[in-house]
Amino acid sequence: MSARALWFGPEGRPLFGWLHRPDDGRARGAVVLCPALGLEGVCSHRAYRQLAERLEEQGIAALRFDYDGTGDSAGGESDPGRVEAWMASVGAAVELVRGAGASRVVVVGMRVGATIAAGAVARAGVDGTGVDGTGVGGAGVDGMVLWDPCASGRTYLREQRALGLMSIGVETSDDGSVEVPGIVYQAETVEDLGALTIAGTEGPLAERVLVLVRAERTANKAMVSRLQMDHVEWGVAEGQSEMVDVEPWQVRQPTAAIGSVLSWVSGVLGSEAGPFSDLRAAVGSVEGTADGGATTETIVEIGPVGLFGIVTERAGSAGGATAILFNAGTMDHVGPSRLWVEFARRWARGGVRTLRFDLSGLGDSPVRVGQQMDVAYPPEALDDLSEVVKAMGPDGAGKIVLSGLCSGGYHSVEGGLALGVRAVCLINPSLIAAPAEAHGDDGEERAAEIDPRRQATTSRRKWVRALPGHDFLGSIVDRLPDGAWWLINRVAVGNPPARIIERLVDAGVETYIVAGESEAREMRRGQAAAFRRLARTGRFHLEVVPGIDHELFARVSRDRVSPMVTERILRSVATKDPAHRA
Amino acid sequence: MEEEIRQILEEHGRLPVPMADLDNNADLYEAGMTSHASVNVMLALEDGFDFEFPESMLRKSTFESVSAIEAALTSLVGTPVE
Repeated sequence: MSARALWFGPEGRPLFGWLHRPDDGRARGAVVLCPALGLEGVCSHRAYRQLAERLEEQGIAALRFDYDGTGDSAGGESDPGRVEAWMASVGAAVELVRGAGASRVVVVGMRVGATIAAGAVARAGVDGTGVDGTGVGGAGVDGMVLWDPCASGRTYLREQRALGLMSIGVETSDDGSVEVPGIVYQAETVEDLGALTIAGTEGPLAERVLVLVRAERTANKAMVSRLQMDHVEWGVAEGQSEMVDVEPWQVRQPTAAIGSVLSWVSGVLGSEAGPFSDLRAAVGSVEGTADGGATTETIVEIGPVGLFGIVTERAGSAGGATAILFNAGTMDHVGPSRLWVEFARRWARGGVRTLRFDLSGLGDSPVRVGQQMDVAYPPEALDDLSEVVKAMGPDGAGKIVLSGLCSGGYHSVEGGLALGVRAVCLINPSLIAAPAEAHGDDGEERAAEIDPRRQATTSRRKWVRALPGHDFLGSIVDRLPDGAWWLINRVAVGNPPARIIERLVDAGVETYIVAGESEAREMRRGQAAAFRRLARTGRFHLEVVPGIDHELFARVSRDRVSPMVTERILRSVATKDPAHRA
Repeated sequence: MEEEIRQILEEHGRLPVPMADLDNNADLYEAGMTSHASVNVMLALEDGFDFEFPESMLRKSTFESVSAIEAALTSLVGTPVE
């Protein structure tokens, strides 16, 4: 298979995408995959990748992409004209695949991505321009799949708003903006989304349309009425709740629905194939500067397996320090609430070259032979970090700073211990989780062998894990006071967090941790004295931030943590690398 | 009203235990209902009773038990049907 990441669309404000092109350079047509937004987009990322790969196997090109201001694309959520820009992004995506040679095009939209895509395609069909602005294709496209569509932008906002209020307690604002988990939509966007409805679209949308709805939900009456046409087929979005109504680490892939879409698209596109160009655009200019400079983002493949990453830098910053960001749990390289993209661009402005990448088996990186996909604590991460640090610091790891959240914090510690990087910057690091190989297929912790390369695992000692009912014991000891934990840390825990950090600090790795109150309490329990000793070294800094959620899905959490981390990264680089003081 | 609420919770609450095992005051979150599931319960209640929860009621406490849901619905759509 030959998927290639690339930049496309407007020069100076490029869109990011993955183009899946059949190996023989010929395609029966192309499918443009319009993603869901926010958490639903995170949860359906793998499904879209699987669908694109299966389309490619069947001789159909596929384009996965991020709308303007989302994912890896240029811009941000607070920019004006969001809804218009998202619809224009759909047009640019269709234009790209048509330009590459696709004579027939199907547009697939997931959740609010379906609402946006329907709006873009319908408008283009009505005004006769075609969705790509060329007028090619009459109504715009040959097929359209509305996959569990939000009947309107308002229903999307309302559901996500309710989720935010009932989970992390998102804030209420009186300026018309609406906060949902991971995103704040400005008043203009809220108004424009409110006006975007599938019922309000005109025309046939496409020659053939497939609508997949959830069996357990009542489809919106106005949308159903609007789509009662002979060329519209209806099906069930099987497995949808198990994909988007869960936390990112609980996602199960909707295999049956992927198969349904694949089969339907194949029927729409027919069997005749034509040449399809191999497009390349590895460097995108994502931000301009007042002095005429630019922040560029370069798509990279690292190591023997080709780990996927993006390097963000300002002209002239090459050769200095490099910050490396990667997966938080099973979320991709974009980071929680798109924070890694924002960090990369902000840190690049401060002179720090930044790589954001996916560990093997996660996000857009390949899977190693025999590796299980979508595992948060894979032992293969040790190989990944070694290859990435070598690639970004060919002269040594002394200019590398590793940074991550939750499992990314744990992996950063492993990387720090094994590779001797300059510093680690950890956000709500998970230093007490059992590694992947210590779990059976049922997810239960077992007395399995832990990869001997791991130095930072704090799981219970092997003899404890072998005890019958050790998980029950675990639930009891979790409630014990600090004094009891002091004893447990010596007897039953392999590597308490303070000891791990001590080794890191002794190895000369500057260690900075930002943690919420509960995360800090869990990390320090029974080890208060050890943490006080660490603080006196001057090479360890722990900031405890009240009122933040673990994944930083709430704006207030991001607003509190982001400046701290940015200041620390820039200070760390400036202190030890005089070249960056200017 | 109580029976309809229980039916909706059975279908949309994704609880690991049958609703029959939970009394009206049982904490549904403690019983295993997630935030995502409670949004689906909210949508199903709105469909079933043909109304819309105001944002001020979109909080965990509104959906924490059968009794809490019934009280919320009563305040929004009227007296419970016996």
